[in-house]
Amino acid sequence: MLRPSIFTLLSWNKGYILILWTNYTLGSPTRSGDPKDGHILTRAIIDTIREPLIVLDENLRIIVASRSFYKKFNLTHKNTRDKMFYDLGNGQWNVPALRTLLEQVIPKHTTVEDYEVRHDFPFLGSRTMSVNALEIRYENGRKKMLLSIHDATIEKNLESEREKLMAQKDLLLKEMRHRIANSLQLIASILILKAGTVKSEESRFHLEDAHSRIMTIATVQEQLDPSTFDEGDVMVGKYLTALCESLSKSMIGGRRAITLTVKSGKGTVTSEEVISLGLMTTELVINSLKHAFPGEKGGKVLVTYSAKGPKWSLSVADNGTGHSKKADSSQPGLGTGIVAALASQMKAVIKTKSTKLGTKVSVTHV
Amino acid sequence: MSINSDNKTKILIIDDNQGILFVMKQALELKDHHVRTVSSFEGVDAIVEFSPDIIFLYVSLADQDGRAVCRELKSNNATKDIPIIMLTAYSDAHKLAKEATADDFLSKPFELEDLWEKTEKYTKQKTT
Repeated sequence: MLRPSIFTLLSWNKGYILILWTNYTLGSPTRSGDPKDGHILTRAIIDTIREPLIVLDENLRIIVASRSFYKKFNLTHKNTRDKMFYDLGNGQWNVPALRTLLEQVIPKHTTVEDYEVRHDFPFLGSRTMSVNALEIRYENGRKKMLLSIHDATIEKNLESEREKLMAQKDLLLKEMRHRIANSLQLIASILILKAGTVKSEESRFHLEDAHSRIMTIATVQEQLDPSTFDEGDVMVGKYLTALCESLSKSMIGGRRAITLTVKSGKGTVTSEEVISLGLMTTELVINSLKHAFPGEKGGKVLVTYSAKGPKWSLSVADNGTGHSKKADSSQPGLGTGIVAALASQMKAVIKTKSTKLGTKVSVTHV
Repeated sequence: MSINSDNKTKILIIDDNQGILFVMKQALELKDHHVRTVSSFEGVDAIVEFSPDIIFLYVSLADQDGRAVCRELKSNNATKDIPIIMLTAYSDAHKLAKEATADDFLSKPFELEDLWEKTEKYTKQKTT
């Protein structure tokens, strides 16, 4: 009758898949009655294992260790056999963490994987060892313990180095964000301060125009979290709301009775896409403010965004005077050109509907 | 409100960027405020000497943590009642301001309208 033996248990050891059913247990006699055969086979198998492996008896004395164990820890069969595990190599294995593992953890759990032991080994120096352990319980009540020891020092050091670099990267991104914010603040503020000093209404409008375009980009920066810089997803509704609040303050302020509102569904886009959406919105809103409400006429401008799957639609509608025939026939301005270019880049189509009751420009991606 | 002969609101701006200090000073002086700008925190005594009505304080000063400066001012009897508005480029500005025990915040880049509104708000609070 076949009984599970130590060989099937070796299939759990990392990097090795070795399943062999025999009617031998470790150290037991063969059918012929010669116990040496069992030992020889066991020995041979243990010696082929790449990772340092030790077999301990129930008193934590070494029964056998792999060649790789001797080589790694500068030991020999002679100075390990029957020795207490803790006494090996002048007590270098007498590590509190290991004692806890062998005397408390394993008796409770029988199998332990990736138990970390950090120690300053006299021969190897400071090391982090990852220990797999398995307690074998025989039918007769006797026990043995298998320990597989992997030197994880290099991996741990690399992981620690990676964490430091990630932290450094986050710091640099935050610093970059601050510098960008300061630069945008400076340019935007200079433009709006200048707008306040010019006498020409047209010049003032152009300066405010330029300021609004800068704030369009700046508002994207605000929405981006440095920790997700690589992903760069921005909530469109939140962005357009912040953008239009900014446009309201700079382009309308308390000077005109015009309201600018946003109606948007849920949805996120990349930072690159949201800049394009923002710039198109800015241009279309500026157009409305410039042409829809002549004189001191008040009115409403509504920005709407909706998305379903890959399809989206952006529109800017006002309840102003509509396009005049003269405006329709004249050459498109810079703003119209920008919208057309961005829409083309985003593979979207522009539709304009203008009546005496107002104008609506829609940019749709299908 | 602090005593000054021309009744102007006294504002102190602490930011390590000279360009920002310049434009903020220009913007606030447009609204007829008395503005002093410094690029670092010079200690509680310097604040008490100037006796500002409002302080704008950048969160990431070159060699100082703006939040620590804010907490220091808010825990000192001589300066705890001065409204402090944190200037920051961080996305979680309101959380930062709360942690620093500041009264308010402005996220860079901000509209000058927002700067004027915040100044007006804390000036009015002082006079009521």
